[in-house]
Amino acid sequence: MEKYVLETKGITKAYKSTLALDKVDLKLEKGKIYGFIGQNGAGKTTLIRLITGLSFASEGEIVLWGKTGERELQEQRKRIGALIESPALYPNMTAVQNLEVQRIQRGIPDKAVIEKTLQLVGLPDTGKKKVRNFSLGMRQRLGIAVALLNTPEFLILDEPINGLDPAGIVEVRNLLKNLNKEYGMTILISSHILDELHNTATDFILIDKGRIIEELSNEELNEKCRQYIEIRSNDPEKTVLVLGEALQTENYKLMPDGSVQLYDHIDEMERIAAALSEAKILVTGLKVSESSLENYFLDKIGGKKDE
Amino acid sequence: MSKLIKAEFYKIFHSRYYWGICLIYLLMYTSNLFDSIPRTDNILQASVRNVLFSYFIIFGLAVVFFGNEFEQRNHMTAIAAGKKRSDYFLAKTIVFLILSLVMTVVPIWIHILGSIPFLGVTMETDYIMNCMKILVPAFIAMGEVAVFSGLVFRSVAGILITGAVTNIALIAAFNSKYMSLFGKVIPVGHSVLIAAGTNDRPALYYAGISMIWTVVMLVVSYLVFRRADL
Repeated sequence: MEKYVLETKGITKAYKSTLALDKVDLKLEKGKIYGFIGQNGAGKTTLIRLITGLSFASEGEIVLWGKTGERELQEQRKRIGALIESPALYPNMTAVQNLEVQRIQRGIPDKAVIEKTLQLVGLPDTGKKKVRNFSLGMRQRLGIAVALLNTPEFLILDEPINGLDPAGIVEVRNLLKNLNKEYGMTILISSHILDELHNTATDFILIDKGRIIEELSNEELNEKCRQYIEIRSNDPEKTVLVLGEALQTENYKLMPDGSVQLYDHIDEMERIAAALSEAKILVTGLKVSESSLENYFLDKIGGKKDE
Repeated sequence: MSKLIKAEFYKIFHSRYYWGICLIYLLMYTSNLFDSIPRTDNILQASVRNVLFSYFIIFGLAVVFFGNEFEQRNHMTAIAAGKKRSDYFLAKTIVFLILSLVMTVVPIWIHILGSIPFLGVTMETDYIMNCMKILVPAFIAMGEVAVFSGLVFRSVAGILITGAVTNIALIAAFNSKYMSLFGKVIPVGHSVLIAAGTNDRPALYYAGISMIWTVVMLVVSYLVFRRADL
């Protein structure tokens, strides 16, 4: 049994004047939900297009379930379900007809799979309504249904919650978690709604300017996004000195905006306030905060820009 | 590949645009027939005389069949689901050529068979069958030009521009003093020669020319498509 669903080895994709992906090495383990995070143009969709065979790498190798080579890869892709960019649907057909095209194309014998999949994504009663009259959220759900029709082992969703209302987002989150739990489905989701991704994914891949800048698990991210005390004062440099002397800690960070983030002594706000006051530092803000995935990501790409 | 072909037929038969194009085509092609009858020697020549209109309509069909498919990115679901590019390419090509052939040949037969009771025309079977040996490969080659534009440009604009440019070029060619030469070497021209009654070579010659055009365009479009970023 292959441990890795997908491996990319030094994948590079170059267009005439742009390097969309630069020597990307990745390993996606079976049974995990990966959050794929990057700004617009970072290379997320390019990598997804390479994985799904819509585009070819300039250099490097893609391995799916341990198999590589053009012919083998295309065979393995039958085990993948994908929603790439926005849902690829037939606007003049109904939801059932759209799925029927996919059912015929993939050679799925059981017609009942259509009803079952529509039920699964929360679109059971669209009747004769044509897809062109669907809301953005309904189209998104139908796009997910297309990807799920063959109960894939590896599900790739590019911006799956675009256009969904809050209730729809929660439904999709629960659906993905259930699919992962029930079928052991490996899922790769790219999304701009990072806090939602934080609630869904078990692992994260951060990409910027075509390079993977970090891979980390949810636990590691939680550790990095842990609580801290944010201190704002009239003298940030003196503040860190006082913290070091009074609390015997070096677990703080002076931020570019002049605030100080203290990562321990979370329950000792009064002691900290007193120490700063004694040192005649004017404290203008003191609160317990938590870093979000969004802030963490922005810090990462900001840090990279500063280098 | 049979699954892909089946899915293509399912899609096209559920497309209102397809049936709309067929209906408009049959009505306009038939109305043009009455204009052509007095200018030609027989019903087949009259029917074939408006072949450039058929050529234009085939590109209309290509817009529905290829243009919409690629612009709505429906092709992605097939490729990402593990279908081979060669299978996808062949399924699209085969289905389109069948559809375009039906669209071009069926109205001619409707005109021929309809003319027997309505116009009192007698059917010259040998002559018609000989012409069909020329027309069917020529219509396949015509359809292949649209397949080429559909699979190489993969956009509505690309297909329409190819259709318009080639149509204008063909009108110019068949109205020039070299009409007879163009008629011999361009598949669409074969039907222009039939309409004028000047097809003076054996049917096999014309069929061979059409087949060469078809194979060359098929190979070139496949070579482009197989490594394209879809």
